[in-house]
Amino acid sequence: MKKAVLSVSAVCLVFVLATVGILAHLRTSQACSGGSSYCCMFDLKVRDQDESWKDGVSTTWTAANMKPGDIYPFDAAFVQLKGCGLFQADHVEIAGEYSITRRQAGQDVSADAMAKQMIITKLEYSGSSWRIDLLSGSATGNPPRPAGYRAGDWAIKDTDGDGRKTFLDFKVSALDDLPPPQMWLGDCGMPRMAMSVKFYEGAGNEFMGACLDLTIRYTLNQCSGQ
Amino acid sequence: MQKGTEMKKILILMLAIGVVACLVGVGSFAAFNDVETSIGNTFTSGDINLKLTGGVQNGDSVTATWKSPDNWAPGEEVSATLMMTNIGTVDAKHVRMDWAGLTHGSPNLMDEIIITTFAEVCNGTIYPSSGNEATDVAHACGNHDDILTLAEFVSTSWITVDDWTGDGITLEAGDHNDYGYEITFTFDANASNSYQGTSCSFGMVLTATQSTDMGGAIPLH
Repeated sequence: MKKAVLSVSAVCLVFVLATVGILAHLRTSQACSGGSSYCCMFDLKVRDQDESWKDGVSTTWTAANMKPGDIYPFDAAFVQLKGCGLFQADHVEIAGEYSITRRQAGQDVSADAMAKQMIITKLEYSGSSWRIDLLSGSATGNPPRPAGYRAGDWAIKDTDGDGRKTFLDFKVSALDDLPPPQMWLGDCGMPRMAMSVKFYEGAGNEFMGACLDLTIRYTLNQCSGQ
Repeated sequence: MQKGTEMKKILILMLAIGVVACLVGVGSFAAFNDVETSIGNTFTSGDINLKLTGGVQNGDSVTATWKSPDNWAPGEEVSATLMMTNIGTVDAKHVRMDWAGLTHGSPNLMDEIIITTFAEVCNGTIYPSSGNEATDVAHACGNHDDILTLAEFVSTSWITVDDWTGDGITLEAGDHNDYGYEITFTFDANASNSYQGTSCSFGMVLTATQSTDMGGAIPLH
């Protein structure tokens, strides 16, 4: 009986130590920002065309001196996602948000108004053998569907009914239940997002000199209910 | 026997604690997520900022570019050049010419003021090479004869679809002072005495634009 008590005690001790270790590890993850390539317990890393794997990238897609009708294919630009740590993720969410950082003197242009002028002409999320059109929700190559996937999760909706998919729609209608990075695949197999935009040809003079700052948020979720 | 029972209780208690701890642990780790952002994706629109020179400078505008002397007599001319520059960051494809503040008495002096020279100044060069396209402009408006009166000229809007350089840009961004109009107004030498003491005035509204919408304006050249 004494042996049994000692065994249970040992198990508990190991569990406590493991918990403490994990918590310590998680606490370490709070300092995982700022370009660290250190992999935390449940960790998403991103890179783009000119930045290597880290927590967060910047200035992936930029356009200056836009004029109405200008098209920006951004052929070389992308953000790629990598999951690392101990647990395989269930799905990815992608959402956009923005602010207007400059406008012409005397013009009362809101961020939403400017965002409505930014038409997303291409938004793709692809792996090595599959591709999802995030404007239509259609897919080729049979991408893995997370447990919580529902029809429409993979498409930005025309929320304001103006016949265009814009940054405004991206903000209002976030993307959910996208296939997560598979930890066992190499970097090339990690999913990536690509985007092309067009400055609406009907944009009026009130948008001259305005600057919209877009932030895209990638969330790696462990469970389907998240 | 009693000692064994106590041990059993302790064992069960510890197992219960272990199970609870495990459940708490699993519960704690059941909803991990991690968020990373792509920031600084900026989309900045350019601007067209038209400035004029010629005449009396009045902020962005000019006044009295073409102003006759007092007591202007038949046969006399007034000639001047109005230049435009785009200090914005986006090239302007077109310049549209509309009218405002049209005034005249009776009879209408505009009928007796003839535009004897109309030329465009592109990057310092006068176009067309002949130095005058007034006849071509006359054919496009009014009674379509060879004479271009001021009354005919201000009866419609005009647009520069392309300057003479053929690059699709009329006003390049960056303050190049690269487009303008050289116009000579002549008081018709055959004007009758009824025009003595009459006057007229016009305001020329110039719009530099990216829009390809002609909006009913007649293309120049």
